[in-house]
Amino acid sequence: MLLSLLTICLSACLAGLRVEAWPFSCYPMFSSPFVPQELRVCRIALECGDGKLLWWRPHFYKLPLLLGERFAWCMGRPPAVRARWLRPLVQETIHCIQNDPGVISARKVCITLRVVTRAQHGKWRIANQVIASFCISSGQVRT
Amino acid sequence: MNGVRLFTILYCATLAVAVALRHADQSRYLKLRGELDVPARVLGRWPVPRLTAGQFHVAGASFLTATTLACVGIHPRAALCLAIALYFVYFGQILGVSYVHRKSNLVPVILFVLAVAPGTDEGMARRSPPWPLLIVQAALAQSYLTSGFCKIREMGVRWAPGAQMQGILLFHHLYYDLKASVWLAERIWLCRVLSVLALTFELTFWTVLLVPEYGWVFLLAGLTFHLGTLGLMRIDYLTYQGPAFLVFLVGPIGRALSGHWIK
Repeated sequence: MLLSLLTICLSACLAGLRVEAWPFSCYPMFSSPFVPQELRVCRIALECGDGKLLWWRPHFYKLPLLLGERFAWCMGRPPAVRARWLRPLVQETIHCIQNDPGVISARKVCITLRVVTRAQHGKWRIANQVIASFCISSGQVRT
Repeated sequence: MNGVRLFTILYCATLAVAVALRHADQSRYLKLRGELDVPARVLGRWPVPRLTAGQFHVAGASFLTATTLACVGIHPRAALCLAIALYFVYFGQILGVSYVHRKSNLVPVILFVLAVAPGTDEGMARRSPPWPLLIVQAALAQSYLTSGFCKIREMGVRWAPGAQMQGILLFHHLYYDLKASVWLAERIWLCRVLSVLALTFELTFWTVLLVPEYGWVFLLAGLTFHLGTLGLMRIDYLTYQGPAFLVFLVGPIGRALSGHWIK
């Protein structure tokens, strides 16, 4: 009983101290502010051979979110820092896309900034803007 | 009735089924991301050694065997200890998977509680003390309380009026095109209700320890909460945290069984 209680106490203490020490966590998800009008996310779109843009929807659906958050972070850095972090991130993204059996004919990856704005009658409108793109074959980034 | 033994059977069987069903998927993730993800560290300190695809299959099969042995009652304590060690080796490879990251955190804690609990290796007819199951409930409650506490600490009551829920729903819609989420986000009063319900659920789940006879209410609330996050945000806590909720079924199942199987 003592050992079990100690485990729970350790877990509670680490959580109280905001320490992430797997398998203990403070579960901080969604505790920071999410203001609709301030949401800015980077989502990955793929340009097909016919020039059509499609969202990348891999089986591991959280990948675009994780990669997108890192792209968003990179794009907000000064050019020198951005260049250093962008190259491995682009390679990683290409690796994930090339190994996704759901992707058939993509030639270009478009990093798309998505923001929401208020429309009429309480509706939300989403605006998309391609902020960077790179060829899957060369990995050459264009911003 | 031996509630600890019954929960060991229910928990380990469900966990084994979950791993068996998800192993192929998890193996695919390892193949895709194994080299790219930062190695997991136990307690943030000790790195878990990387496994090859073959070793990952062996670790998965071993975890399955250990939980099955604990379930059928063959050296259950040793099997549970082995399962804890294998948890770190196996899940440490795939912490980036959406339904594993943080969602499997209670697995080693619960396996540990069961490994040291009296009654784990005894027959179903023996009476077991209630504290191991209360500790399992406390572990579950602690995860929700911590999460609720984090929200209150960061934002206070500003988390509740609905705008935060709107933001969270829209955030997930921007990534996953979730029609139900954006429909809800357009109705502030519904967002307000959901925010209050979510906060109330997280901050009051611990009260189950005071009224264990109403465990089924908390089971229903937990299932609704997690089905909601799955449908509206694609956050899956059911696969690996869901089996912990079986602790609330031990009483009813035990009562049903004691009239028939357990004399």
